[in-house]
Amino acid sequence: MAGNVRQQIDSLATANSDNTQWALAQVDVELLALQAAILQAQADPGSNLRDVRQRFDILYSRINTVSNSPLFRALRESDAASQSLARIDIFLSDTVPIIDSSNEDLRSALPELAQRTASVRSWTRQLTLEGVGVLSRSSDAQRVGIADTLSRVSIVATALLVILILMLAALFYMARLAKQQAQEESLVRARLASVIATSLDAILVVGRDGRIKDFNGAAEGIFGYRRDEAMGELVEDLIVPDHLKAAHRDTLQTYLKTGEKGVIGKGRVQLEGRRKNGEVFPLEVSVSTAESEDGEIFVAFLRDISRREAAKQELIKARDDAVAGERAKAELIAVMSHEMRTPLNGMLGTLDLIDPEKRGPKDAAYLDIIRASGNQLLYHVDNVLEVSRAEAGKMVLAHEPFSIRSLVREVVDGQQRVAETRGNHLSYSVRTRGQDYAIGDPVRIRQVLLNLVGNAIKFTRNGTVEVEAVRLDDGNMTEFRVKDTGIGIQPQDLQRVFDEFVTLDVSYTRAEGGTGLGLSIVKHLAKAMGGTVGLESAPGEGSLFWVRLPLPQIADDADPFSTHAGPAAEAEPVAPRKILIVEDNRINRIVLRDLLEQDGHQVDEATNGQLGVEATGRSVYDLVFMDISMPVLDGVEATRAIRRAEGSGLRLPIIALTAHALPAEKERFRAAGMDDILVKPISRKSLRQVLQAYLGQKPAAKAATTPRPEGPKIVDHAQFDELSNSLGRERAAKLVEDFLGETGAAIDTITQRLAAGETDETIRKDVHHAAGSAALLGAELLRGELARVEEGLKTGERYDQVTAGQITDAWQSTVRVLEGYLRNA
Amino acid sequence: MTTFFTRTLFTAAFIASAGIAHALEPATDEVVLTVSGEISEANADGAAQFDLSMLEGLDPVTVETSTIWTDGVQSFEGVPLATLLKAVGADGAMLRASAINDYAVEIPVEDAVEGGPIVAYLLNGEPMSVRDKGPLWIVYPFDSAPEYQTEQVYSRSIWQLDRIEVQP
Repeated sequence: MAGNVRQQIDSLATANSDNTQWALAQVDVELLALQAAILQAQADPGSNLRDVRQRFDILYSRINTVSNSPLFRALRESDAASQSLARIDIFLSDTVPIIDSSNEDLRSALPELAQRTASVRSWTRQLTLEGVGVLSRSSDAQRVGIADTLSRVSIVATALLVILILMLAALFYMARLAKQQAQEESLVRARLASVIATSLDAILVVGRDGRIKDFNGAAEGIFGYRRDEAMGELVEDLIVPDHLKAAHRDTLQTYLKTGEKGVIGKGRVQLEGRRKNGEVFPLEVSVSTAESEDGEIFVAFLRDISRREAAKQELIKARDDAVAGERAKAELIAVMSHEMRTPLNGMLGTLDLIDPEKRGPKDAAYLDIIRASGNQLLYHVDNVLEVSRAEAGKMVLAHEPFSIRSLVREVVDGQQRVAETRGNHLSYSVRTRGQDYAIGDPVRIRQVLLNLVGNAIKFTRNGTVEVEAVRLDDGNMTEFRVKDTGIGIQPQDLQRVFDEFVTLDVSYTRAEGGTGLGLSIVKHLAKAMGGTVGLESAPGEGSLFWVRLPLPQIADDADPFSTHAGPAAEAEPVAPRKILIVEDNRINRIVLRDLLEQDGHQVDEATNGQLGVEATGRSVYDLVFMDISMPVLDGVEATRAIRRAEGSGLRLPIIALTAHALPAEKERFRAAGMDDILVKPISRKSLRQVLQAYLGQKPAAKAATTPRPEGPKIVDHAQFDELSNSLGRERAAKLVEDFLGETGAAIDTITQRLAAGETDETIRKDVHHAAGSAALLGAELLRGELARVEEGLKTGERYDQVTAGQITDAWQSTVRVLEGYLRNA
Repeated sequence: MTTFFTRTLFTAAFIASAGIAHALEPATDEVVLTVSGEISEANADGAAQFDLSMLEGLDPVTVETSTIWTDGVQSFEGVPLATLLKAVGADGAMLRASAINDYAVEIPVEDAVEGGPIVAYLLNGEPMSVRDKGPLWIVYPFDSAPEYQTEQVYSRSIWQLDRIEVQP
């Protein structure tokens, strides 16, 4: 369409007509001019005829134009015009011969010419008029054409306008977009600039040539250079310490050559930097690369971490100091434990050597006090040691098989006397549903029970203390309960009793003695063994402490060192043997030697492992006691040497002597070839048990051949003296008289009923009561017999005349001794 | 656009001669054109009179073009207006050209350029009588450029020319 319009405009721009109307009118005008020329020539016979001829020629050319010119084609197509033109043509062709004739002929023809010209005038007139009509019609058509063209132009123009507007809108939109982008970009730039300016980290921009392109405020602060000093300088010259320059150069060169990135993009890297004043300090650096107008650049963030490093060093030092302090404390405790236990061991052992029978009653009482105090001291030392171990988390628990029943009985047996001195009846019951053996740490459990039972006895007078061990439903969890009828605990104190150094009634506790550590140790130990503790109590009614421990059940005989742990072991001496003691501590040697010699053994000594090994080479021994830590050659190495030497022949029993054996050590001792462990302090009982286990005869032979060299005393002088001292002699005498009366009656009843084979509860109660009374006065023989009977009654054993006779014998002996006291009093 | 035009051929009829370099000789034959006004070369009473042979001596050219007054392409031969003005030493801005019947038009001197209008005296090789719009006809090369196809140019294409007055 645009092309079409363009064509139309082109055709308008080139005119295709002269002034046609004027040209047409000229035909008429020229005819009139010819008429006028003719008239003038007629009026003046002497005139030149040139004018007539010229006017005719002009008219001729005009008509010729109208007849031939394309301008008048439309006109010629009109009938009227073509008729007129034909007439005029006839006029012209008729007239040409006249015009072209000689002057005389022309002059004579003038009148005729005038008449012809006048007659043709009507045709020229008609041609002109027709021409006006035709031409006005064609000019109308032309106008319509122009209007049409113009309307097309306007359509095209409108379309163009619309396109223009759209383009303008697009342009405007793009301009706005560009402006917005520019704004955002400048905003981002501004933000970035402020980030860089306010960054706490130094920010360096470095070109590929290693020269600084930008250096922010933080960098000024950290490195001490002003920005204008730093700009354009080599990083290497400015901030890299001497010892890192080569590495820095290498890294940069390698990157530029191979593109290997080194620290670039690796995140935080710790390096060192140098300040303007030459100080070298630790830096944390993060480098990345970016493209800029000038090509690749490196952007480095650097953080001064000298303070952080200093703080870190301080912390490390503080921690090291603390650890060292802790270690020193632990070492101190270990040393203390050893240093305190060794002399105590010697002291208590030596006490056992003193025969109270050979001393006066006073000396015997003093010895008892010394022994009790020594045991108390040992107990406290052990407690403190245990607490510190538990607190340090260093407690190493044993995982060994043991019998729950034996453990409980041992504890109760051990505390029986103490309980009796306070008038308490101590009993136990074990309900393990056939799962008596368990894996655990029997030493720790014993300590827990001892503490709980000791506590119960301490706060109960003339009441009962019951120990129970119960396998709970799942079989592994075992609950130990210690129930007393003592003073009880106030509700507000229930939560506190397990805390360290808590003694509820200071005055009372002072009277009773104690560090306040007992229950705390119970809690620590129970927790260490994966158990829980708790209590129920009411003031004046008593307390129940319970400990719940996971103790997996096992098959019976899994303990490598269980030989003397069984209930069957009796503390009876074995037949005299030849025994070697390898021990560097002189007191320990003396104690052990005397204990052994009192039982009739032949004893040799060696003061270190080396001498011990040599001794076994020289002589044949039945058994060796081997200390562990000794100079020259320690016990473990000495044992290995002995085992190597003895080959496949008879195995010499080697018993380790140690203050406290950890499970891991036990294993080590056993691996070295040791057969058992005797834990110091050594008591006569434990010593005899070990000898019994390794050198003992058959039980039948034992009963016949081994006399009882040392039965229970009839009356414990020390205890009786203590009683009479604390009550006063008169009241003691009264007590003895009451005892002789009441208990005598009770014994009569008991013996009669036992002889009759009765075993019911009332007998047991009577026996128990009588035993309690005997214990109070220190009548050990009688109490022992009664206790044995009571135990038997519990387990359903039957008694007869023999038993009754034994009780009667014991009673009579007791009566004799006590009557002697009364007489002396 | 080229289809719109017909090529105009300019054919040099004569190699340029020394004829125009010297002063005008007086007309020896019938005078067909009289140039008056601001001219430096004259041969009769301050005007330059030309007979047909004098015009033929002024390096005539041939222009082939159609016109709105004739049918088909015509071949015109004549003297370029520029050559004619140079021959008379014209020094003006406007030409007033008149016909035998006193029809007159004004032609700006700028129109007289090389390849522009000519004063034609031959149509298709024949002299033009007065009856054939002769003896002289100013013809522009209408077909050579659209600028020559305007009503103004048509009105300047005066035929039966016999006088030119050079006006300042």
